[in-house]
Amino acid sequence: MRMTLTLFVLAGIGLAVLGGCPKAPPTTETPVAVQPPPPLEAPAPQAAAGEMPDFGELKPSKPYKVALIMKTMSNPFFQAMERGAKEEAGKLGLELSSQAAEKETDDEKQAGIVENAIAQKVDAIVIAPADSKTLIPALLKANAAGIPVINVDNRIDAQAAQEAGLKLVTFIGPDNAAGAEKAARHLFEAMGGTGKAAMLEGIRGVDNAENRKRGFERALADFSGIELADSQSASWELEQGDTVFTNMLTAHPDITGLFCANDMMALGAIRAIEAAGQPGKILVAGYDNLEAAQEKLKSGALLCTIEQHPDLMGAYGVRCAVALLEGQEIPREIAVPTDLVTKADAR
Amino acid sequence: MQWLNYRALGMLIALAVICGVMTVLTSWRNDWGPPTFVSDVNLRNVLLQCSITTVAAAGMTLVIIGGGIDLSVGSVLALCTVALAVVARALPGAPGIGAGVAGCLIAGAAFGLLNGLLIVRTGAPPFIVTLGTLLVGRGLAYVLADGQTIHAQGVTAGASAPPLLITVGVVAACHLFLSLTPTGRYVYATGGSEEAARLSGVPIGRVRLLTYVASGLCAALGAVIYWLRMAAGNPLAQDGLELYAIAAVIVGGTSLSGGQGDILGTVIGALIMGVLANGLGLLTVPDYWQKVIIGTVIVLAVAGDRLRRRRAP
Repeated sequence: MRMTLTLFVLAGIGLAVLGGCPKAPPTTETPVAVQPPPPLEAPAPQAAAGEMPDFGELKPSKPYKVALIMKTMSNPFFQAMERGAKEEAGKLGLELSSQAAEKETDDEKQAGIVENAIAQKVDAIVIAPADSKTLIPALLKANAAGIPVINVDNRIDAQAAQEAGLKLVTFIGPDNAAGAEKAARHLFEAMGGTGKAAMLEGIRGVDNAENRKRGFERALADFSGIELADSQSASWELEQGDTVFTNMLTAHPDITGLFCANDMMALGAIRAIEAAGQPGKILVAGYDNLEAAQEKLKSGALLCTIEQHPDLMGAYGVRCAVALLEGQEIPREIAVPTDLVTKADAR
Repeated sequence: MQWLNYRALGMLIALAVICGVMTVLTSWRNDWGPPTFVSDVNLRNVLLQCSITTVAAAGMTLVIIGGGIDLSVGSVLALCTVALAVVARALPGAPGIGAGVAGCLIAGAAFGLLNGLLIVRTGAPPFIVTLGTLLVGRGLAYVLADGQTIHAQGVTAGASAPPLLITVGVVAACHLFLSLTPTGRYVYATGGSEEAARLSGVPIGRVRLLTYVASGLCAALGAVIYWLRMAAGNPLAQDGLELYAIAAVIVGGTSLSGGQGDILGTVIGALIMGVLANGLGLLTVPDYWQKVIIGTVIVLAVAGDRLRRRRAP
């Protein structure tokens, strides 16, 4: 008995430590093809207020060390961010080290990575924080060491940062509310402006999840013919998307439109729709423009999604770091444009 | 005892070798400049970064020596961080933090007591009981936190001294308990041979109960460290901690079948994993490969030890 137990536990440890956590993010099915990132100046259809400033031709006076710290590497979003940052760092001749925690939610591990970057005496930190508040103590240490911090993707809570005395150079992020509104409007129009709609939300309380919900609600307010059937969190996850939407469909079989705050949940919901034998009856809009979503876009199972250019966030982050270190003025906030992606744009 | 010292020496040498390798590699990465690994800042970081695992592993050592296992520590820790944050939010200021810490310790001890009672009273296997309470604890943490991270208001976290003091205190207390007190010796007796211990009058039920309460308390102290580092209660905190804690205990030479082992070995085990994780991070080895390397070291450490013991006369 003890022997069996021993083997069982050792096997468990081996599996968990070697093979990843038992609840690994469900992103295994996403083969990430190398996409040529769009040139920096390309996607600027409308001149938004906080657009990427032109720093002129940046010529770093030395090969700065820049640390790019992300939430996880098992999400194609951050792989694209790293790709964009690496490319820009290559152009500028910088030494870029990019790291992430194994789990998107592991803020303590990410705080450790920040501490390590400080110990390495990097010249600047570009961070996509796992939590909008809990990373503040670690980033304060960077402030104390005189290392500038550039916030990308997920915004550090402004009030909490102010209370703690944390100084951030700038925030570079997508306009989540605008992106979600764009997707939701497209969805409601495709529904003919009438019928029951639902939403799968991200993790509640997280900045980008809340903003995407706000964008969805903004669009909803403009379509009087659309009735909201249900809105629940599926924690950004594929499996949860499947489960939660299966249950929603059971409760409201007449739903004809669904907005998901990310593509992972949308892919899960599409699975649920197929399992319920109703493909084609429910229009699904996603967010993130994942590689894995392209096939569904082409087949029409996914109506549309939002590209928020994580590669540009990475590239802008690196550019801002260099511009700052070269003594240039950096705007407090920089919005990366979002694009609506439909069948015609599928890769 | 002779063997223990010999073995502890072996583990210390392994730790020293890993530290040496990290020193050389981080110096190489700085173009043979000063090695980042041995800088003051980084040595403190290493200790900080493995403090939670060490504290949880100290409690786990007691449980494993006593012949049990506690898979619920990660969940109990998360629940305790939430309990601390909820209480601290309700009562602002210093009294709130005091009450929060008290609530956190009570929650941890109570959960340990629950584990212990279920195991001792029903005779159910500890592996199964604590697997169940792992889910219960994590679920309760979500319920209590309403699924969200609870942030402390107006608290400055991030000082490194308090977490390190807690860690040293827990390690010292567990070590003294095991090596100096009669009850500590009962833990070894209970894990070594329950029947023999019972016949010689050891109150095995109470001893085992005590080890689970200790493990719950250690998880709660880990929660205090988490709170000191992140200024938040997080139902997602330290998912999978139990596996790293068990790994630290086993790498440190404590036998999974109970009855032998010690805290100092566990500390070395936790340090080996902590140094590897920190050093590989400094070298910006991708996270996937870090897992491969750390997992390999765990297996090699245990396998090497088994082989050496088999050959030993």
